[in-house]
Amino acid sequence: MNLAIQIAKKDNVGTAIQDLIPEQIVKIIDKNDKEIFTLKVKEYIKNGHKIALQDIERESLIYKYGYVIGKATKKINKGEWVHIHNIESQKARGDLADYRNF
Amino acid sequence: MINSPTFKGYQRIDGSIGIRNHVLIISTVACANYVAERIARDYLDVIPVTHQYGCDQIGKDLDLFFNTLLRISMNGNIAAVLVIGLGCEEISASFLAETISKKGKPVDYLIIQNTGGTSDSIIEGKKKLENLRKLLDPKKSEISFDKLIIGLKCGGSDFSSGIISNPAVGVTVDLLLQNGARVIFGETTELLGAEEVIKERSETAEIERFILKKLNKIEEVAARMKVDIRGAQPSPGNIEGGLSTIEEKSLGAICKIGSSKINHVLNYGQSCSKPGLSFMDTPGNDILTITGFVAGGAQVIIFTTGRGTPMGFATVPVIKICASPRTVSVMEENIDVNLSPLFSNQISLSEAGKMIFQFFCNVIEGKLTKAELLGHSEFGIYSIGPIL
Repeated sequence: MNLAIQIAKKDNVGTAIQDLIPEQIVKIIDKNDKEIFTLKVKEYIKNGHKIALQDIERESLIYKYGYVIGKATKKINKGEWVHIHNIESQKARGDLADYRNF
Repeated sequence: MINSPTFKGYQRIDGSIGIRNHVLIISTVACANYVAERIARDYLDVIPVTHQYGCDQIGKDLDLFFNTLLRISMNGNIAAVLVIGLGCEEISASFLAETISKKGKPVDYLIIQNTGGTSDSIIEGKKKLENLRKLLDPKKSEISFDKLIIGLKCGGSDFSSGIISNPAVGVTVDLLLQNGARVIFGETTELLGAEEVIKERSETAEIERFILKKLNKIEEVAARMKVDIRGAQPSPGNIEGGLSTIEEKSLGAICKIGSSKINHVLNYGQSCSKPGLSFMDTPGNDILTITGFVAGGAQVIIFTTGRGTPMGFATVPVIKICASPRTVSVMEENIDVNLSPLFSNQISLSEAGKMIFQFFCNVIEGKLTKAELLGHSEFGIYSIGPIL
């Protein structure tokens, strides 16, 4: 069975530790290799890339390591690939017009 | 009080400690690079350090440049220094040599414009070098672990860095600190997104303020330039390797520091004089960060990589740690400690941390790293001002 790791309990994304194939079932493990739950893979996810562990609404925060790593730019469904096409950084965003609190 | 174990290293007359034994040939300006490199040629224990700077620098940038040359020369891995200058640059070779000498390190210098052309300078430099090489301390002494300064770096990160290599180095760092060693981490840019961790780990409010202020400066640069740092941080290779944002990269990178509190903060290249875990304000750039650590006194670097990087450093061993099965197979000759068995659960994180510690103990007593065996000798100057 395919594997992905959820590093902290709070995380809504997991990291694939094998290539994940659509329609397959992926086993989600914690830091101590204990199986927590399983879910169905929705699209191809390369080894090392992230999978949504739950449905994530647009604009909601993405958690990995138990901390915020970015914000969803569109709705992400459980089992989908999470990367630069659907999440973005909130740090050092000088490109944003309202980024003027510095 | 920590009961520090000992290892065999070089006790220098100025009080510093080395784990390698080199004569350093350092140029004070780019114009002197070729002569410096030619003098050093033919000797394995003689290290040339050259760069593109030394001319048309001003203010704080010039001060930082001088301090970097001085502190790199004073590092414990260096037994003696030969300074090579042209003669018309801002930091004269004689002034640098005099400053090094005052601090108690054997040194000589040569000024090309006073010596002759390229050929005469090389001949004269080799004579001076012969005298300095006689000063290479022949014997090692028992040195306490608390004299060790270790720099932590990650480069070419991917998902394996944050999940395996950096947490494993974290275990090693806990061991190093328990044994009394001093450990420095830096890479300010790669703390963007890890502010909560910094708040939890800073020993005092002052330390927390120092680090958050440095992070704010990077935010200011991005705002002033009206740019997004994506593309540089994370880099295209980081992104290909599964890292989506600087926050994700940072939260993986900070795992290197283990479970200790951050005890001290240092500016770039500032001497690391206190035991415990120190933060140094450095850029994310690999070579420039290591130059800062070595200027701060680090005798050895522990370096994690995901996608693989061959780089070493001119005057200190760089221990490469990697957990990516693909990188370990493609760049095997550059990796010292292979942590890819962790992916198949053949070893635990705590065993991996001990494995790195064991390898580290061999390196400080003379075992050569892959980068040293391959002849890697990188060096870089962090420039903070315009070249006029």
